[in-house]
Amino acid sequence: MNVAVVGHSVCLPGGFAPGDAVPADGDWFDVKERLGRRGYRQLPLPAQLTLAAVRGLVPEGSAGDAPDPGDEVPAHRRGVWLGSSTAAAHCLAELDRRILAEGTESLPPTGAPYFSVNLVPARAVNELGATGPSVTVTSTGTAVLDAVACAVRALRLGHVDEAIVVAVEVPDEMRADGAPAECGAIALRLRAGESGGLLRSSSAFVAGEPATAAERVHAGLASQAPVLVAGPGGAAPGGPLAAFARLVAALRAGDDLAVVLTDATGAASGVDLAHAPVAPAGTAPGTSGTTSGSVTAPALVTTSQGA
Amino acid sequence: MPLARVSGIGAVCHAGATISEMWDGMNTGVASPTTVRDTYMDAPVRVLYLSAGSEHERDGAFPGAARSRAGRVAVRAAAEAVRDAGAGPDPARTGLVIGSCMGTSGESERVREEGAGQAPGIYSIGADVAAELGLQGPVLNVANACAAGAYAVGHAADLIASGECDRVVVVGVESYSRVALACFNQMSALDPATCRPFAADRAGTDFGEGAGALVLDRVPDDAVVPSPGAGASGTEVFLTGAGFSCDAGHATAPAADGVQARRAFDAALGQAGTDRARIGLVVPHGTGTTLNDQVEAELLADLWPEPADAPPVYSAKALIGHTGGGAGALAAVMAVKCLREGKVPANLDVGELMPQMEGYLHDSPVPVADSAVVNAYAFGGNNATLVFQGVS
Repeated sequence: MNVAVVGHSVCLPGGFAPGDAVPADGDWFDVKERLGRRGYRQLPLPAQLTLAAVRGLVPEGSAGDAPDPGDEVPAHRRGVWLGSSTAAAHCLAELDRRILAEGTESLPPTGAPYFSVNLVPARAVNELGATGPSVTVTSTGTAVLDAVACAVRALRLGHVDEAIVVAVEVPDEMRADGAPAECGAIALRLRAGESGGLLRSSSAFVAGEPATAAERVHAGLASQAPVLVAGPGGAAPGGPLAAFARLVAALRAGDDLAVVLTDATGAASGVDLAHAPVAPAGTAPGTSGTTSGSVTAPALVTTSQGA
Repeated sequence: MPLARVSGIGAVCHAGATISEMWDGMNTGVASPTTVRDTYMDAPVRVLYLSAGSEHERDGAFPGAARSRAGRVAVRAAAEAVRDAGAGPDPARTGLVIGSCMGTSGESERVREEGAGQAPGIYSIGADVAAELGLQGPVLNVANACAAGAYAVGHAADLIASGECDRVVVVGVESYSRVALACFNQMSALDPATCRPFAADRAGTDFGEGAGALVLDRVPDDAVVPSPGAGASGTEVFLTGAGFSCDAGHATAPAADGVQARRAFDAALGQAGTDRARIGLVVPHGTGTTLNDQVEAELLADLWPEPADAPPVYSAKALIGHTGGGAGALAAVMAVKCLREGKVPANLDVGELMPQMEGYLHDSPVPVADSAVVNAYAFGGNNATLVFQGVS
C-alpha cells in the first residue's frame, strides 16, 4: 500500500527557513488574524496553532471554487493524528498556576477541559469533519514523528483512506532534558493508494543511550538519503519541530531525507522520505522493523503562515 | 486470524495490587474511596479511589526506580503481565504502548507548589517501564483521555500487524492529578458520594488510580485460534477486534445520538467476525456522568432490546473509580480475566438503576463464554470498542 503526501501546511514565524531553530516566542502568532475575531482567543495556544495549520491544508480561495481535497474522502475514512511532546505540559501548567494563585474556582469553564490534551486537536477535527480515529500521540521528544508513523501504519492497514498529521510544539516550563523550546505547528495530509516514492519509519529504545537508539533507527530505515539526527546524541540544531520543518522542505524541494529524533531517555524515532520508488527495506538485525508507504513529489498545497 | 494473543495481564487498582488481588476484590465487591489530602485542592469534591497499597495520593505507592507515582504503578502492572506471559521475543522486537492522559502531572504539581525540584517529563512513564523491563522496540504514549488505554491496545495491535513488533506490552495508567480533579469539579462532573455508573440519581464520576497491563503477542501460524463466533471461556484469550471513531462534535459531551460509538462497536465486531448474539460479556465505559451513561445505556438497549437476551454487563468503575487513561486497559484486563475464569463477578449495588438499565446489571456471579466486549469513550468524542475471545 502506497501512501502519498497530498498536502502540507506550515504555521511557523515569517521568515523561518529550514535549518533555523524554531523560536520559543509565540508573539508572531496573531490569533485574530489567523483564525478570526470571535471564538478562538479562549483556546489554548497549542489548539490555536493546530487549527491554523489544519486550515492551511485547504487551498486559499478554494471556497466555492476548488473543493477541499479532503472532501473526496468519506468522513469516517478520515483520521487525525496529533503529535506533541509539550502541549499537555503547557496546558496543565497554565491551569495549575491558576489553581495555586487563585484557587480551583478561578478555572475558566471554557479552559478547564483542556487539562485533557486530546482536546488540542478537537476543534480542528470538527472542522475537518473527520469521524475516523482521532489520536493524540505524546511520546517524550519523538511524538511528532511517532504520529507520522502511526498515521502511515493506519493507512497501510486500511483503517483509513486519509490521515491528517499535525505536529505542534509549545514551550514547556518543566522540561528538564535541555531540549530547545519551540512554538509552531506543521500539518500533513496523507492518502493511501497514491503512487510515488516510499515513506518509511522506524523506532527503537535503548535506555539512556539516545545515540545508540538513533543508530538502530537509522539501520531500521535502511535509508539511502542524507540523515538528519536531532536531539540528544544528534548533530542537527533545533528541536522536533525544526526537524519536521526540514522534512517538509525536502518534500517541497523533491529531495530525499531521513530524519531521526532522539530523547534523552533513550527513545528514537525516524522517518525516511524518498521521492523515487525504492525497494522496501527489510528488517535490519537488532531493530524494530520498518513501515513503508510512499510520498508523491512536492505537495499540492503549501501555506506559510506568520508575520 | 486474531489480531493478537493476550499472553499476559497485570493490574494495580483500587480492588487490588495484583491480578489475583483484583479478582478477589471483584468477587468481594467492596470499594472504599478516600478524600485527597492535597492542601491546594480546595474544590468541593475530592473523592479518590486510591491504588491498593497506597495510604494517600502522594505516598511512594510502590518501590522502584521509576521517577513518578504513575511510573511505579505502571512498572508493577507491566512486570506482572510479562511474568504471566513468559519468555518473549528479541527485546528489539518488543514494543511498548502507554495509554495515559495525565502522565506524571502529579510530580509537576508538587514541584510547582514547592517552588523547587525537577519533575520528570510528563510522559516519562514509557521510558521508565521500557528501561525496567529491558524493552528495546518502539515506545509510544497515546493520550486519548479516558479512552487512552483502549487506544493503546489498538496501536499495539497495529505494531504487530505492520510487522514491526512480535510482542507489545500495553499499559493504561493514571494517578492522582490535582489539575484533572479541579477541572472536573469546575465542569460539575463529579459525584460527591461515590462512583455509581448507571444509577438513577448518579451525579457524575469519581476518579481512581491504577494501571492495567496486557502483553500482546503475534499469533503463531500453528496456534489454536477461535473461529468466528466459536470462542469459549478458557485459558487462551485473543484480541480479535478493535474499532475506533470520533464524534467530531462537542468537546466534552458525547454525541447524544450515539452514532459514532455504535460505529466503533460495529467495526470491532466486524473485524472479530462475530455478532452481538455471541457476546458473552460487556464491560461498558459506564462512568456515572449523566450523558455518558445515558448514551451508553441506549446503545446497549438498542443492541439487546430485551434484558433477558443481553449478555452480562460488568460495571467496573463502581469498584475502582474512573481511572482515566487506565480505564480501557483495566476494563480489558478484567474482561480477559473473566474469560479465563469462565465467570463474571456480581456488580456492586449502586442503588436504584436508571430505567434503561433495569435487568442488564447482574447482582450475582454468572458464567461467561465466547467473547467479551470492552467500551471506552473520552473527551473529544473519542470512541473505542475492543473484542476478546477465549479458547478452552
